[in-house]
Amino acid sequence: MQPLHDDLHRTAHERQLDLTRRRLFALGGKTLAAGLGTAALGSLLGRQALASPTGPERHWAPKAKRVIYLHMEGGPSHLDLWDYKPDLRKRYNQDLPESIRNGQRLTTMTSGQARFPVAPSMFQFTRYKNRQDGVWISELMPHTGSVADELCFLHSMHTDAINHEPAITFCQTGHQQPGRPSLGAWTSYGLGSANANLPTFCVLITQGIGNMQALSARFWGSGFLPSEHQGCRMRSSGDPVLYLKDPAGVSRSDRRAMLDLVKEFNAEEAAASLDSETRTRIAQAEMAYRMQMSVPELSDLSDEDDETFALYGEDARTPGTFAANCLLARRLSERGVRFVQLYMRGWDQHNNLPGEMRAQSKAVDQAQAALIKDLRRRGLLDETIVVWGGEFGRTVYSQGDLSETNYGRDHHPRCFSMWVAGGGFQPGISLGKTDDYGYNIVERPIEVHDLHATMLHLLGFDHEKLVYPFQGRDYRLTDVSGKVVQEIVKGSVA
Amino acid sequence: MKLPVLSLLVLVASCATPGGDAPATPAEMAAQARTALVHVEQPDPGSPLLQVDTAAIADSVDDAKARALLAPLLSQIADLSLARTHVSVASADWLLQCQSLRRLDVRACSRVDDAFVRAIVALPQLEELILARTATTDASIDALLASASLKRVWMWKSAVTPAGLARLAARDGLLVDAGLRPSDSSAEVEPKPEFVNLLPMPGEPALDAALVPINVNCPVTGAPVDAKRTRTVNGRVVGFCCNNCPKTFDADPAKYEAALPKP
Repeated sequence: MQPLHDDLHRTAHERQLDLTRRRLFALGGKTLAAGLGTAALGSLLGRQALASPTGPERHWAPKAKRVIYLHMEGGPSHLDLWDYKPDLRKRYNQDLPESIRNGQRLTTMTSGQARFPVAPSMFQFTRYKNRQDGVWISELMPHTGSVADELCFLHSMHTDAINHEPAITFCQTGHQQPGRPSLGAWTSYGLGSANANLPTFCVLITQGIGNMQALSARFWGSGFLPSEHQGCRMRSSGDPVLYLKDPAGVSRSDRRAMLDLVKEFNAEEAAASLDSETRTRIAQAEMAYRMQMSVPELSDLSDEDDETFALYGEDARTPGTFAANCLLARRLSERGVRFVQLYMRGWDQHNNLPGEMRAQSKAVDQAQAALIKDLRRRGLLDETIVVWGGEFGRTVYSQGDLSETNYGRDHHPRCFSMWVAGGGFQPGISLGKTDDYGYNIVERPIEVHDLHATMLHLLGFDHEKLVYPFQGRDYRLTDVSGKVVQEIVKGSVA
Repeated sequence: MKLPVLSLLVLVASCATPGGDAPATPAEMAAQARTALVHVEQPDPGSPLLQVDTAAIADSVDDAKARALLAPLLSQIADLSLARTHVSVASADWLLQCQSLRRLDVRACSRVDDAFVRAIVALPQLEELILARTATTDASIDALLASASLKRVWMWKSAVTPAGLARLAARDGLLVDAGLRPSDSSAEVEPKPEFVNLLPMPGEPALDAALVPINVNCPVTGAPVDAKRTRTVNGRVVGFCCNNCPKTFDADPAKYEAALPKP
């Protein structure tokens, strides 16, 4: 039998080459100097060769088909949620030893503090059963604890950035400076769509309480990848997707006729200008037409029963809550959407951490555990990667006044905790350790690039080979870094 | 939307008839299914086997439509999702031609019943079968147990009883997921956290237990005690937050005694 993908890929590619060459020589004869024509041809071919409708070929059989990424914007405190340090309770208000801080940089929000007093977590921890000897989780996350046997905890994540903007950009695009394609865009580029009626990459945002950072659309942008791979933000009030509905007085058949005409014009333009973005534009208009039917069906929760709302929490009935977005993420995933990016804003607890974290955790805990349970019982968890984490952790020392019941924590990139589940990750394990202060990593450091490399690995790609040519060189999500974390990949011998 | 799909169906159906203008290559056959918004992909570059998902058009897929769309691809399908469609036992005959089928997802297909299950368990390579939210009952259990290849089955919100689930789960090598979770997943709860300042700083000798203050917060201001600022008050070691507070304390000991922990 003929390998299908190969053949399809090559046919489309060759067709494009043929068109491009003919067009360009025709143009070149009239208007362009021969040298310029050749240079332009080179850059166009590079772009189009990979922009084939089916995307690049996988490097091996994937374990996962899709991703749900729960990003906790602001940097939740690992010390108050996942990284259990009981002995710190016996160091209450002691100064953080210089041997631990070791001259590492601090943000200007605390670098001027006279003291760095140790603030132990005031929250009680419980050990939950997993597939090792259990995992300690804070009282703030009891529901998540109840699915600990499905989760893989990474206690030794670290990042290069110390402030939100570059740190989120790094988490979402593999680079601190803006402009690179996001993780979701790379996934969309790599995997292509599995549901032609919905965007391949959807973004859902929940407002938190307290200090929130701006979320720029470039966190889910497509960078230099074709723009069809950018995330489609779904709004929680009004129309989920803007400008999708036909205006009053325009019937669906009128809309069809209009689109057909515009498509003709655009096709002529694409043939003349050779601009792949025009082709994207045609495809996106068709997608929007189909989404007029598929999005209302997607966001209509009337076919969800009371048991679902009991599982996710009654908040799930209120659009825009984290619970509602988790439920929507499940609905998107079961319809084949490749990448669902959730943002929970408001984890930036410089002050009043205990009170704010109680509220933030309450907003996410039940729903994220429900998402795991719900994916699992529908047979989707094994093929869906779920990722939970912020852009960095928080300091063990208190920012501002310390008391037994109130403290704050500054940004801490040197270590933080994340968890991953499903999609070929080892369930019920923990990897990595931090020191007694939860300040430095002492065992199995994992950098953000390593997580990205591992996610691509599970999706069927070698992160060093999934590249896109731009500005004269091949770019990849993991830049020049990243190693697959074999210990957390199911069935691999670490 | 309806018209292009219908005309395409006619095209696909005619392609499926032997002797007609059958598509020449697997790629062309797949391209046709894709035009009808069926997801067809070859996930493993080293294998011609296909993953097929009808999610985009699920609500419009019934037995006849599924057959028409997928007929040219049957021998290559290893992973098939018909979730949320209207397929029934009438699809069993063409499904049985999917001899490479390893995973079948008929989740939330309300017309999938015991007759469907009894028929498709004959698939020789079927390892994973998702029957969540289907009409299957305990009458499917014997058929499921008879499959030699089956490794995992999902039964959440089917009509299978707990007794039926137990029979299934008893089979060696068969994992059954019915959406049930262990009722108690916690193994141990730590005692209520108490804050003290007892451990020596790293690299310093242990604190003399006799000098450890009895209080965590300063009796005058309520701020955390600085372990270096302690003094003896009526035979107990009391800690203060700064150098000024002991003087304030001495001015009116009775007033501040109340803030100290009772022995």
